[in-house]
Amino acid sequence: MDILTATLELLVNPATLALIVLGVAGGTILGALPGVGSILGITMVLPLTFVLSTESSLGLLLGIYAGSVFGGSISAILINTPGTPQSAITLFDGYPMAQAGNGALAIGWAAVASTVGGVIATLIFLLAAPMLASVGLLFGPIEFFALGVFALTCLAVVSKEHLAKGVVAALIGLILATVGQDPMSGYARLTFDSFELAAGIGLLPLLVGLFALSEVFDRASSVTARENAPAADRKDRMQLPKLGDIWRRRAVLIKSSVIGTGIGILPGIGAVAASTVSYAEAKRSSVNRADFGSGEPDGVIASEASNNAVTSGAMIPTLSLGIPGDPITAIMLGALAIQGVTPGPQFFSNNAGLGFFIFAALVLSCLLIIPVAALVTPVFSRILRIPEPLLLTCIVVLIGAGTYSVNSSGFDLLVTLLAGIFGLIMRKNHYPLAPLVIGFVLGPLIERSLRQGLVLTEGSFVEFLSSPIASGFFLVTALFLLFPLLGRVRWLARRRLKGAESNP
Amino acid sequence: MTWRPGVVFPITILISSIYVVADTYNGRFGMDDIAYNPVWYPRILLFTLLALSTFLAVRGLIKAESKQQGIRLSALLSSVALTALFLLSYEHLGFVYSALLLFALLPAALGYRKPIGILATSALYVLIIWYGFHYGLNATPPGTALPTF
Repeated sequence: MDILTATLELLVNPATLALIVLGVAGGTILGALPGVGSILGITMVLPLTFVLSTESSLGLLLGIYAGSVFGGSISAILINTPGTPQSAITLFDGYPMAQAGNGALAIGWAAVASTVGGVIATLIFLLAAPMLASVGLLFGPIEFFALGVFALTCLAVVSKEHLAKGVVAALIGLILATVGQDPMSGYARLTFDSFELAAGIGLLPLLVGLFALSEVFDRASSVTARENAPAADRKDRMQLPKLGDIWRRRAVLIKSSVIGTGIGILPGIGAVAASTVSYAEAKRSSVNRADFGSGEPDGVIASEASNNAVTSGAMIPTLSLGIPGDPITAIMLGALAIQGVTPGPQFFSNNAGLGFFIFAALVLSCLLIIPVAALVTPVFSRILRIPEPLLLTCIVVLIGAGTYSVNSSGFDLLVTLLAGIFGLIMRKNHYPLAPLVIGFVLGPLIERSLRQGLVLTEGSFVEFLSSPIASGFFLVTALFLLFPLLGRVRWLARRRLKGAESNP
Repeated sequence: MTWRPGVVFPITILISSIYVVADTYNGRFGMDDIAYNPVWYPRILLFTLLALSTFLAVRGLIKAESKQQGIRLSALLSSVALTALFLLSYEHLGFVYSALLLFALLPAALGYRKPIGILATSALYVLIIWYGFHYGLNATPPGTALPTF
């Protein structure tokens, strides 16, 4: 009860409340701008969170996260261009609704579905937390090491690119995390006698460079005049559906929210897959399936309820296991680390108050989507007219000012620049960025757990398998790594068999 | 001519890894028990990275990739160069001058050439950021070109 009261006090604190509202509004605008999206939005404001309390900064970031996922639907519906990849499915029915003169209602359905999806997923998250907290108490160094390896493997395997590229990215992150002082002996290592490197590489400049700056470079390489973007109607607004209509479509709303939560929990799958699966399921089970693709509100509901449910769903493995569900939660994991909070199996037992605050902030962010959407939609056409070269310049200036303000360090700016260039090279060569960040965030935990485990087992790796939890994680890790290889072997065998049949 | 961009990046990683591995053998670190040896764990990671980058380099040699389309190289290079100029001159020139310099050059390099729009945006934006950081976040950007109240 004390935790509940304390959380509510924090939540109604005017500064925290204002930051959550600001986050949802800013996130909705950023999400609505095609190509900007959640990742750039969160990394851009990350440096600002240094001067805020943990709760205020989390409120701001969660607000941006929830707002940006919804914001993508506005441009998908009004100009047939999804603001974020998560909203790509929304345009299948949202844009035809807008063409038929029901754009305001389509945005209303998207806002309602996003709110319901987010709230249902957060309630599931709330129910799962006590169970996760009790499991977390069973973890020691060996279990933590096994979990860390499993988390990295998950992200590398499910990254859309080649498995080896995902593993290389994760290894680079792990190696970068070892730069600086050794946690057990105190020796400086991999510093090349650089005074600045002796303190290690900062997470914030690395995150901002890898995600935000590399995105700016990437967009600069394909910049198009924003003036040429299809203009939305100046009179665009939001019209909420009637309560009776919402009740009639409750099955799609609930089912899509549950699908989104389930997929959000699975590491690395993400919101795009969730909205695709929900859309397919809604179409399969709907009596109006023939209308899907030509302006059926169920299509908008399925996509938006599930992609917002992923937001809360993905927080479950992020907080309870330290395994992010997607690149955005990877950045959230980094943001928590910056605030000195370590997500993992003991998160809920050690930080019950903060965990509860996160639930409450997520619910509030989702509830704020509807009023924010009503305010943002009418000004959308004006927002869309910001010329991209000016927008990119503004982002670079904010990145510079934000990163420098944290430590007043020119070295941090250099790290940001190098990380930005490195991130761009990785993007252009189709290397995923998320495993690198997770490797960097989980690196210290993995190394410390491994070496503490070795001290406990007197240097015996075999003893690591005596823990049932660790053995389970190692087994699943091995299966994850072997599965793509087995698939490849089967594909080659089938191809050879076909070749033999066609050339007897 | 076959395009093989997939080779350059893994080879760069390979060379960098060899350099870093060599640094761990510079004699400064003793032969402590593995749990207490500071470079034992980074070495495992580096050797794995060596093996994987070799694999990717060989794979890149064998498998040609389609050439990337739609990249405006001049815009990309100028954005990287001007961002580097902004970030590296940030401490020396101060926030206001380095930001105004970036506003004067980057939009033009990316094809936006409306001086009034650039001037208005840069003046307004620089003021908002400076005062926002100074008063809102209590983190004054370097340089004091703007008056404080």
